[in-house]
Amino acid sequence: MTSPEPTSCETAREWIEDAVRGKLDEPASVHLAAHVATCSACREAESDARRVRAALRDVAMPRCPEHVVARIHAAVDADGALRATGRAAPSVLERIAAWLAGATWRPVVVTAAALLLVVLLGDRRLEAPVPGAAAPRGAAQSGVFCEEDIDALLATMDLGDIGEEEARRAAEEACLAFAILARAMNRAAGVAETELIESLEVPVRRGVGSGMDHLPAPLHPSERAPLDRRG
Amino acid sequence: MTRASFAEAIEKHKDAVYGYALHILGNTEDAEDIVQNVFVSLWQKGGGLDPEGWRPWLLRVCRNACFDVLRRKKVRNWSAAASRVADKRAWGLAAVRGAADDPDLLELEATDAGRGAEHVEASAAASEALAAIRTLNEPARSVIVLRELFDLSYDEIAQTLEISLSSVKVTLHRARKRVRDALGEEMTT
Repeated sequence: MTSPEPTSCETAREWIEDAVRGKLDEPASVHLAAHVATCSACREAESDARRVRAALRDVAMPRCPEHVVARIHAAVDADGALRATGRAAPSVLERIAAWLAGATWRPVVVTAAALLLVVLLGDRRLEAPVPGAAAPRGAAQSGVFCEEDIDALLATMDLGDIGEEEARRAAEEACLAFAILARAMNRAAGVAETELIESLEVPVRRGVGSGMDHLPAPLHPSERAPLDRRG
Repeated sequence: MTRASFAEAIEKHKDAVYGYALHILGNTEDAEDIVQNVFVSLWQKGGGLDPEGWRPWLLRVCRNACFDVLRRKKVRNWSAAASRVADKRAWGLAAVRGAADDPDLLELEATDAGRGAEHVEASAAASEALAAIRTLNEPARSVIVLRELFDLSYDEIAQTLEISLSSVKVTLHRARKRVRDALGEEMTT
């Protein structure tokens, strides 16, 4: 038997990875054995690799539940159906519209929940900008919906038996509730409002990339027409 | 990408994505949501990805999505807390030391009541090794987990964690040494 050729440490380390997995062929194994016999660093590296590998061999890998696979396919089917209709993914307003379409009492619940949260958090000042109210530029515009937003939202709704007046009031309350909730959460968490809005996947009306390009350009608060808040 | 190839991708990589999400989050419900979102992202990306690169791409998206979840939950010490729950609840380890004293763990446990019990128990040596891995910082922790538990190649690890190949090698070497030191000399093989 001839003596194995000199092996670099870099090659030896690659062989060690295969060796501990039982994938190293015989000639390379001979070379590796010769190398580690004379190289204490690689000998130690091989020993470490073997021992860690052996210790973790009993760890059972979790298996993804089958119902998750079904959920993935259902989500992709829904995505495909959406694309087939030529529509983009629903905007936040469309999602709110879909949510509102189910029952007229929902906005009331949201409003109540938002107000309850504000009270529980001790924030009674209700600094959230409301539609139509004067508010500073910047963060205060985040999550605020103006009258055009309401119109856009209503345009996406299938009103069915719900009267337009009732639907408009419900939409206004939902938007107001969202604004209050967002501001309350912001204050409670001490996070930037833009971060909060982004984490909620709610488009922020501040120009390019807002996700609300289909809507009219953001209005300066002073340009906003007061909403007729009924009920 | 055809539905057939997409289904093949799911079948081939779903366990890895789920396991990695579970490893980071320690919560089966969140992990399931992550898996769904990751694969939907793959579908939406369409044919712009080489099948050879699916696994690191999926795991990278998974990792980023998991961090988003943790940020929303305001879990700062995720590296220790999430994995302890994952190890105990989902990865099937019976003994988890120091869990009761960790407020982050308690927070996570409150969101993960009793899930993951179907997984088999790991050995004492594995428990020791995982305990040692839990003490590692990122990216060492992910490097050794992806290598030893998920069997990713150096290249795949580098792509997943978006670090260099040399960093993977050096980090893995150091991580193994730390784990071996923790295991001691009496470990049975």
